[in-house]
Parts: sequence; structure tokens; C-alpha cells
Amino acid sequence: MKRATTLAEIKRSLNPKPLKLEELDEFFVETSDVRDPQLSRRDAIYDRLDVEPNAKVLLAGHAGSGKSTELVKFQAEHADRYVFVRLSMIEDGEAGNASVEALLVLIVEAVLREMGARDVRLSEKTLTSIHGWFDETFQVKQEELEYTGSVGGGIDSASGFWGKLLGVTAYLKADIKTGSGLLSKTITRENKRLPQLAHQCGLLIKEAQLALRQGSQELLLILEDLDKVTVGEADDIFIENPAALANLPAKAIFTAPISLFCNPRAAVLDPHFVVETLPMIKVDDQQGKPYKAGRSVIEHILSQRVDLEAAVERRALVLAIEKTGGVLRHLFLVLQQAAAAASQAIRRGKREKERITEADVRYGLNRLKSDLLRRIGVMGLPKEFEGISTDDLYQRLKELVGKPQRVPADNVNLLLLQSHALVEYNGEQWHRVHPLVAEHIEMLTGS
Amino acid sequence: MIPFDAAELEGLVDLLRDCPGRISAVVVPGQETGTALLELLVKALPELTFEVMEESATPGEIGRRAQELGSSQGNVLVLRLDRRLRPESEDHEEGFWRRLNYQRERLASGDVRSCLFMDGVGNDRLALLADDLYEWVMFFRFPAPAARSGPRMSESPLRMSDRLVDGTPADLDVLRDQWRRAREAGLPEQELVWDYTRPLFAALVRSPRIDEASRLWKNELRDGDALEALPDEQRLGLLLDACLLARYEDRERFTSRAREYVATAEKVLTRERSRDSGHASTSIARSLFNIGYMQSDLGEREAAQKSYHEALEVYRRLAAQHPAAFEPDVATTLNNLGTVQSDLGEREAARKSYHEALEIRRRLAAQHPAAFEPDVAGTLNNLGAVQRGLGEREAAQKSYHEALEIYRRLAAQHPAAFEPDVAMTLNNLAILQRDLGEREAAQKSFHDSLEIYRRLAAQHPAVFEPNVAGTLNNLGTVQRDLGEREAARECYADALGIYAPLAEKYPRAFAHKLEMALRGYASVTPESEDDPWWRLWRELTRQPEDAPT
Repeated sequence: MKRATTLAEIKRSLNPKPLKLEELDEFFVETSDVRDPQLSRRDAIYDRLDVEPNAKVLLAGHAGSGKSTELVKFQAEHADRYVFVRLSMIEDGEAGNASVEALLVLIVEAVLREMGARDVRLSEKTLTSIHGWFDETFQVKQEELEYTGSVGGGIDSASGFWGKLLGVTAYLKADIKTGSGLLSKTITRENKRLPQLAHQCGLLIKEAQLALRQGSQELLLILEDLDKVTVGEADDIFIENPAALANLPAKAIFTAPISLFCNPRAAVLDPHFVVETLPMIKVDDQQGKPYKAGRSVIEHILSQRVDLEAAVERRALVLAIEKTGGVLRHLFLVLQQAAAAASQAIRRGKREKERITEADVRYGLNRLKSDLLRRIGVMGLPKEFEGISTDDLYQRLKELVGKPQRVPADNVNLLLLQSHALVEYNGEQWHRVHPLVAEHIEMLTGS
Repeated sequence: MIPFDAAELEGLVDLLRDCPGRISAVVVPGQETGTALLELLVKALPELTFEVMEESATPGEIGRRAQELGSSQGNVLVLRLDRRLRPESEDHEEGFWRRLNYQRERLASGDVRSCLFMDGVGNDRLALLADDLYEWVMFFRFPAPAARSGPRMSESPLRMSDRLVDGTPADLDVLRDQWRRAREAGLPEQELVWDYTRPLFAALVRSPRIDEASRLWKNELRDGDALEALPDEQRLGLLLDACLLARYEDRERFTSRAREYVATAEKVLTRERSRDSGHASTSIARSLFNIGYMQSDLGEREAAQKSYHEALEVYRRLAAQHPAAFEPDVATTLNNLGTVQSDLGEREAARKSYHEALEIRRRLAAQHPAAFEPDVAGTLNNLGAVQRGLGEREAAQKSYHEALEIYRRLAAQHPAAFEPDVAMTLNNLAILQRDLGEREAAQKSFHDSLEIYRRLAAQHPAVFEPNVAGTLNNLGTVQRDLGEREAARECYADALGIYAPLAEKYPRAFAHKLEMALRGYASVTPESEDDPWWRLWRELTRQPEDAPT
């Protein structure tokens, strides 16, 4: 694919979505060394999965740190050994309706689809039994299934129990999306049907495993975007009810919010999950000096998509990389905004050259800074954060700015990490205030 | 013309005519009776439309049809479960009933009257396998079917873990099939054990398929290395099921497995606590409860009391957040704590625990009578025993009477499940009546209890014969007090006939009971060389020659 040279092309090419499998060859840039020179996280995950049967890995990292792309690369590297079933809590489900129950239903649906796509035959006896449970538990009417089938791309509910089961789970998936509540009303904590649902999900996974064994492969579940659910939902899924996911009879990787590990209750995760954190790409070292290798990799990532020399002024590029602190998603957003600002300037006749300038980048950075600062607040937080004020957050930022360090896992730092005001770097885990937030704090303190 | 019980028939006709949205069960001895009865019902209720469902209909189809009929008035949906051919395997049969259970709401939806014809076997299956549905059914028996019974495990951790069991016995066929294929596929042993053997074993134990479960345990789990290789948390789950299995096997095996369970559970608990940082966790509460239960069963009562206290503390915290989910657990733990306190002689504390458990269970039963009334009765029974021990005899009598009233009501609906409880409560009440000097009343209560236990023992001798012997012994004592020495002698002799072989096989459990019955027998029977019980009594009471006098 041609690298972007025009502003319109830049806006299109800097889509901050994770890479897809088919995009790897063109766009993927190895970042492991500048995240943690000691150990590649993909290798670490592979080793963890290799050692333990049915290992469950929680891959933590800031939103935008590149977790999904790393997992796509992982999939490409190990496609011979594993059959990957990927699903996203955002795309397949609904972030606001995240729950263990929803995840289990989504897993059943995704496994069925993957097996169907690969033409893997599953035991009809098992499918009949699982369908029986779903049918009688949820009692979805045939006409509703047919409607879901027609809107959902023509699920053939007549073709054996694979189709029937897919029909019911697709219906439930739509229920999760729309939040109409059939799942949450049918499987409640009070009626304790969650273990039954987990059991049915396990039966299907085991069936798939048995079929895949014949080709010397096994299932690997990847559940993404769990790092985008609320603190309460993440707590409910991983801390309060870890067994349902941890006992699934397959290896699995879940992307998890970094905040999950920032309190003492994270120890509850130990027997169920192994945790791998994907560090951010460093743009400065721990002493605050520019980290050339990191900046160079980021530039390389950009250069895969954009003809930087032609489209971005050098000083603008350096500024964008420095001020986004290694958060690739932020960098992409800033450059998109900058490209938009440049386009407008051209349309209004203020300039002619299709090139992003330092002023354009500054505009993009200011927009991002406003977003980041808006998040430093305590309105509408769950009750476990009661007693923390916005002043407390700013006070902590004042204490941390300019002093990269390992911060303690308390609720104030947890909120700062979640809001991206604080960013965590490499395997030795140190934190610094996001460069744009730091600018604001320094302005406030006059330093 | 088959003669039908007029009162029963009248009741059924009234229910069908006057109560739309109700489910009735008609228990008949065979298809012929069922057909004759149905003809009679159709004639007696011309204003209703009877629809007989196809015998091959699946539970889902049955439910859907009931729902459709429920939208208009005057329909009776008849299920001829008595005519249904038993499927090729027991597991399929079991699956049918378990799935029918899920159709409860549909069978009672709108204006439909669902009428389930079944034979005695069907009655038992409904009770055992479709317990939610069973609770909604009004029974009419033509004539009364054979009852099936078994021991209830009302307060054990196994009951609590049933909520956590991954799967239902309805999946047995699938679990067996997957296990067989996994074995053939040559999976690594740990994977085979955890993903395939363990779920199958759990489902077999809970079904219960004791012989098959025993074989699986012995051949695939206990004697293999895989069990040792499993992490403690996983091994614990297996051991809990193995303890349940051992209950069906023998006491010694149960003891050794229970000890292993407690040791492993304590290790896991220590780890869980170190991770938990004071947070109320369900798994900690459950572990503590299970440990307490096993310790209590092993006779380690002080340790059990401590474990229950700790479990209670955690469950209370959980119940404060989710009352509906955890209040039953608070009550169960209080109930068991009371029992241990009572065994330790701490009767005041026991009474307090039972009172609190009772208060919670009464509240729960007011909302969900079918689910919690048996628990209310169970705690009343326990409370009665403690009140008796504290000399509060009138209060004890009141508690027993209330428990008896509840159990009798439940037994009328579900004889298989609750007749043993009626018999046990009658026995307790009789002992109290004897204490109060009400010997005739005591004699009658023992008689009633004995009658039930004998009926139950005819079906399950291993389970209920010791109860028969115990009640005979008690009855003998009352009769002796009443001066009816010959009747007393007969009771003691019958009790001895049961205790003697049991004491030979399980001396630790039955030797002292044998001795007690011999003492009673000797007190009402003239000494005789020809009397084998007298000879045994003399043998037992003879002083060793070198013993000091």
C-alpha cells in the first residue's frame, strides 16, 4: 500500500485501531526491545501458555499501548499450534453490559462460529445436550430466533444442533448488545445458574478441543477490550467471580485494565491467572532524557503508514512523539487532528502546502490535553473511591511531576492511571506523569 | 369399571374445573387405569377441552404447547407420562425429567390446566429429578403409588456445593462420551483428569451412580499419579466428591478421606486468606464451612466450632452485600454451629444459634415456602433437642410439634423426601413425652415412628434398619415403664436381631447400642441358659478374672 502523502490520506491511514492479521506484513513494527529490552511479552505469554494446561493470561496495559496488535502478531506467530477464537467485549458485546455471564455466552457463540468456519465437526450428542440447556433455560421462541437469524446474516437454525445452538447464542448476543436483559434476568446470582452456564460453555470447549486434537492443535481464546470495562465490572469479572473464566477448559488470554492490579485485592487473581503487563514504549528514560531507541521505533511505526518527510515537518514530528509519551493511540489521534487543522488552513487559503506543521501538532496536542485534563476528576465514581477529591488527584500529580518513580498501588494512583494522567513504563515498572498533563501541572505550579 | 377413590377423584375434578393455571399429577398404577380415569374426567368436565399431548413430545414442545393453550380459556393439557416408552438409557430418561423441570412456568401459564398422568416410577422421578416442578404439582393418587425414599443430606457442604457443581447429571451421557474420546485421544494425564474425568466423577456421585463412581475413582483417580499432581484447589474439589462417595460406601473410608480433605482445605485456606486482604470472599466462607462440617463429622467438635464461627463471620459480611444470595448460607452455618455447640454441652449458645437460624429461615420461608420450610422444620427439631437438654420441656414440645406439623404437611406432598423426617421427629417427641411422664403418648409416637421406619427399611434396609432398631429399643423402654413386659421383651428382641449383625460388622458404631438393647432385654426377661441374648449379655458383663473387685 502506498504511504500517505496528502493530508486526507494521513487522516485515513492513522486510524488508531489495532492492526488486523492481513495488515501485519505491511505495518507491523517490532517494539519489544523498546518496551522491555529484557523480555518480549509475546515470548513471555507463549511460555506461560506452554507450561500450564489451560493457563489463563491477563494481559494488562494502558489503553492504546498496543495490546491488541501484539496479540494479532502472537496469533500470526503461533497459528500452527493454536486455533484462535477472538472476541471483543466492545465489538461482540457491549462495554456497559460486561459480565461473566455475557462473556460465557459470547465465548460459546464465538467457538461455534470458528468451528463452523473451519468445518470442524462437533459431536451432535454434545451439541444436542448443550442446546437443550440453552433452549430450556432461556426459552427463546422460534420466531424470535428466525428474526435474529434474518437480521444477523442468515443463521441456518434448521441445520442440525450446531445451527440451532448458534441461533440461540446469537439471539443472546443481540440481547447483550441491546441490554434488553434476558441474560441478566435468567442467570442471576440469586438463582446460582452461573455455574451451569459455565459448565455448558466448558462442554462445548472440550468438544472443540477433542476435534482439534486430531489435527494436533488446540483452542486459544482471546478476549479483548476487557480493559475498557468499568472498574466495577472488571472487579466483578476477575475478583468476585474468577472461577467461571479461570476454569474454562482452554488456554485463554484476556486483556485487562491495569487498574485491576493496583490494589491489594489483586492477590486474589494469583491462583487463577498469570499476569503479563505490556509496557508502554519509552520516549524518555527514567532520568527524563530522550530515549532515542524508543522514539526511533515510534517514527518507524509512523513511517510504515505515512511518508513523514513529505507530509510532516521534522520539528512537528519530534514534538508529537515527545508529548504523547509513547501512547501510540494518542500519537495517531494528535496527528489526525493536526492533519485536519492543516486541511482547514489550506481550505481557508491560509497556506498552500499539504504538510503538517508544528502549530498543527500543537493544536492536536492541546485537544488531547483538554481530554486528558477532563478525566482528572472524581464526579460519578463508584463508592470505593469515596473520600477522594479532585484536589487530591492534583496534589498527587504535583508530587509526581518531573520525578519518574514506582508509585504505590493506592486509589489515587489507580484513578490517575485510569485517566492516563499517569503512565507506566517497562518491565521494572516505573511511572511518570503524562507529558501533556505534566505541562499543565508545571504551569499551575509555575515551575 | 375400575373403582376410583371417590374423594381423590372429586378433588381432582374440582381442581381442574376451578383452578386454571394449576398443574396436577395423577398417579396411576398402570396405563389402563390412566385411560379409564381420563375418560371419566372428560365426561365429568364437559365444559373443558382436553388435549392429550403426543407421547413422544419433548419437554420443550410440551412447554410451548402449554403456553399456547394458556392463552385461551378452558383447556386441559394432558401428558400421558404413564404411556411414555422408557427410552433406551436411564440417562436419557433422567434428561427428560430434568428438562421437564424447566417447563414449570409454561405448564402453569395463563389459563391452561396441565395434568400429568404418571405411574409410581414417574412419581419418584418427578420428585427426584424435577424438584422445582414437583413443588408446584397437586397430587392425586389412584391408588397411592409405591414411595421411594432415601436419606436426605440437609445440611452438608455437599448440598451447598451442589450449587457449584459444574453440570447436572442430565449431562452424564455427554460427559461419559467426552471422557471416553479424550482417553482414546491420549491427552496428557493432568488434562484428562481435570477436564474430563473430574466432571464425570462429580456428576456420577451426585446422580448418584455409586458403582460407576467408585470404579472411576479407584481406576482413574485415586490410584493414579494425576491426583497428586493436581494443584491443591483442584484436588479439593475432587476430594469433596470423594467424601460424598465414601458416605455411600463405608465410614472408615469416609473418615480417611474427610481427614485428607480437611488437611488440604486448611492449606488452601491459609493461602486464600493471605491473598484476600480482609475481603469477604465466597470461597473462603465455603472452605471454612466445609472444613467445619468435616471436622464435626470426624468428632473434632471444638475445631469445628471455630471453623463454623469463622465461616459465619464471612457469610454475614457477604449477606450484608447480597442478602438474597447469602442469607440461606448464614442460616445453614448457624444451624450447624448450634449442633456442634450442643454436642459440646454449650446448650445456651446452641439455643441462641438455632433461634437466629430459625428467625432467618422463617423469613425466607415466608417468601419461598417450598424452598425453606424443610429448613425451618429442621432447625425446630434441633432447637427442640437443645430445649429438652436445658429442661425447657414445654418449649421443646412446642418446637417438636411445629416441626412435625411442617414435616407431615410436606410428606403428604412428597412422601419419599419427608417421611424419614416425620419418623425422626416423632421419635424425638416421644422421648420428650417419656421425660414428661406422658407414657401413653410416648408409646403412640414411638409406634407411629416405627411404622414409618419399618416401611422405609423394607425398601432401603441398609439405611433405615438402624433407625428401626433404635425406635424399637425406645419403645421397649416405654412399654417396660408401663408394665407391659412381654411387649417390651419383643421390642428389645427385635432391636437385638438388627443390632447384633451390625455390631459385629461395625463394632465402633453399634457395640454400645447392642449393649443398651441387651440391658433392656435382660431387665424384662428372666435369666435363662437357653436364651442366646442372655448368654451374650452375661458374656459382655462378665468381670475379667484378674480384675479387682
